[in-house]
Amino acid sequence: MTTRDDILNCIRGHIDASGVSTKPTEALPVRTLVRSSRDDMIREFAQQLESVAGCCHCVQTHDEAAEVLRTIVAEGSGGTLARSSEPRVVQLVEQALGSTEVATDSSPREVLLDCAVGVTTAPLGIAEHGTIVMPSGDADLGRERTRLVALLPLAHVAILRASDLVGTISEALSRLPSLGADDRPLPPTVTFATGPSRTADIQQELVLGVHGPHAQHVILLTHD
Amino acid sequence: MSERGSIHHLKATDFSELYPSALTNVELRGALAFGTKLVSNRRDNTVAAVDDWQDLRDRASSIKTDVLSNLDQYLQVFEQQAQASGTHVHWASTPAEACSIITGLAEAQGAKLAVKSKSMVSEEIGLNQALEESGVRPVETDLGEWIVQIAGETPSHIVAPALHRSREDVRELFARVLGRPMPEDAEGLTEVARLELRQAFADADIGISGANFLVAETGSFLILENEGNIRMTTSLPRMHIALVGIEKVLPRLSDLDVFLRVIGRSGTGQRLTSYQTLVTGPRRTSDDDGPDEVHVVLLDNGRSSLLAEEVTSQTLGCIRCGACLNTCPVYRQIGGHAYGSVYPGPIGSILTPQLAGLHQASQLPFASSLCGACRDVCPVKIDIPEVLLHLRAKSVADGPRVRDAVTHQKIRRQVGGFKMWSWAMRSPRRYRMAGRVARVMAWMATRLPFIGRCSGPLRGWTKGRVLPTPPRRSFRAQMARRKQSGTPGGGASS
Repeated sequence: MTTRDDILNCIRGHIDASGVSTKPTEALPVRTLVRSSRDDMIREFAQQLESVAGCCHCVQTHDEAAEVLRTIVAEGSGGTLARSSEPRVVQLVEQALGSTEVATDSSPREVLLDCAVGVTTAPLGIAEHGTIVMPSGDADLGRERTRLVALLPLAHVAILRASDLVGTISEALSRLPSLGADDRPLPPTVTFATGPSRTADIQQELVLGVHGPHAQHVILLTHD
Repeated sequence: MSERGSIHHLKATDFSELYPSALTNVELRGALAFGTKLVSNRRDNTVAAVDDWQDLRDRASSIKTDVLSNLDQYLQVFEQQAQASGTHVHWASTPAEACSIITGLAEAQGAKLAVKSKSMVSEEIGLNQALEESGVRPVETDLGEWIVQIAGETPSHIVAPALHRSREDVRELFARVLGRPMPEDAEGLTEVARLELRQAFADADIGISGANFLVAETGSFLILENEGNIRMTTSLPRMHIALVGIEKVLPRLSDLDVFLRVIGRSGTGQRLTSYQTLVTGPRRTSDDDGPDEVHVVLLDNGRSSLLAEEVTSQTLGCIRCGACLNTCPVYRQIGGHAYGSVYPGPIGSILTPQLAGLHQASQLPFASSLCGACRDVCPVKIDIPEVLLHLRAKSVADGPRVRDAVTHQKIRRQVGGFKMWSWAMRSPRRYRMAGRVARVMAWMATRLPFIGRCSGPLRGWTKGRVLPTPPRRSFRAQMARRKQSGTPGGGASS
């Protein structure tokens, strides 16, 4: 018998011996927010993100978005900017920085490790926590590669459309299968990020910025 | 069949020697009092803000009960779905098997360096030692875990591994290990660790993590964190290995909602931790980022034997949030190392003896006042005091073979004491007589301090306490006098 069968038999044997049998639980209906108009969700998202030291920039136009990005880059330490290859990101970075040299999602990781700012989109946002949800990307399907650009630079800027906001984690989980493809519903990795990276491992003192980004910006396009 | 498991570096039979030295360590107790109170206050505040907290606990608990009574089926669904998404699934009955699966994978890669993100299961099986022995250098990347690794220690808390260390402690440690002056503040020290570990992430051949939840429906696993080291561990190396206990499976993706709502609040008092990483297989083309191979190692190590009884089975519902440690009046005084197990505190006191065998940790179920604070905070409603009592009863009923020497002596003494008690309680006459004898003895003990302080069965109790002076007359005698003098409710008490 293989170890696998051994373990499974052992489990079944003990469960039978205990005489406990429980009917499988049923899935609960998707949980939603009480106040879930678009304005409510924008307000909630911004407030929650700020409460965990993230920065939410609500903008109405792409010009405003470019202006915000320019400011973030100017405030940064002046290192290189990295961007994904998603057309909306490419366009915004060009509009904000013109022909400045940038790194991309296909740059070597040594380059990305030294970048100051990384720009990607977030295809989903969760209002109740100020969370952005990022699939790792799938080159086969032409899906944006967010994995390293959103992780390695010191600051991450995510572009989020208000129409992609959902109220709760429960709603976000129910939307995940739409981020993959028919035959493989979930992408290899989905990252939920809420504010910058943090630790309190030294005497319970909160420090922002450890291995992940030190700053988390979300440019929220309120009219998209 | 592998019934009993084992825990790496277990020295819970030394509990009677470990806890007194913790109690006299002033610095340790300062760090503990500060850390545990801060985190449990934060937990209380965030939990108080949730209206349906008790409903959430009920739901979490019923999902865990469902999982544990159908565990073999959920694991098979998980395996099938995980394989369909390209994840390799391995099964290990013992720590030795799990270690050899992982070192085998490392060897096949020609791996020299492994970055690790905090995993209690990896501590349980002694994975770091196994990796070193096969020529792979393991580097812990969670800040707290890195601190205890370079200090040559084990974690003292399942969520905050370096809870027992002060900032000054950490500064001295960094200065000694890295051989250069260190900044004073936590921010500066964190930056030092970040830069030290950045190169390790870039160079590592393998990333090793645990997982908080396996999802049967999709064959995925979810890992929670705050620092970003798990995102790095699962993104940069060519191979990712997740080492997980078999009890961690959940039926559906949507079940994560309830567990995410309880775990952050219970563990660190956060509504949600900074990052959750949901892994469903390796990268699909060479144009994608992420590992080429994803492996899940499912570990039994004695867990399945807990399923044999309903009372013990609930132990496997634990989601390792650490809330019971922070609230426990015993843990708050002695800290994690005193328990002599990688799983300390109330949950450790029931998990350790059940995984490794009662004879390996028979003192731990007695290391509790049964106050029930752990049961009250547990997000999956594990009745820890019930299991503690079950294990105590077992160590009495099953006899000397399940006890260590200290427990054996304690049980014999207690059995003797309760025999006397039971004799005295059987008639009013005996009760009166026993009361008289006890009062005389207590009086002698308070007048002649050496009796109460250094000898006899009260030694353990009186070492740190002064015996109260007994009243001259018993309650019954006082009542009798009162009746005689006809002053109900009045009269002096002495």
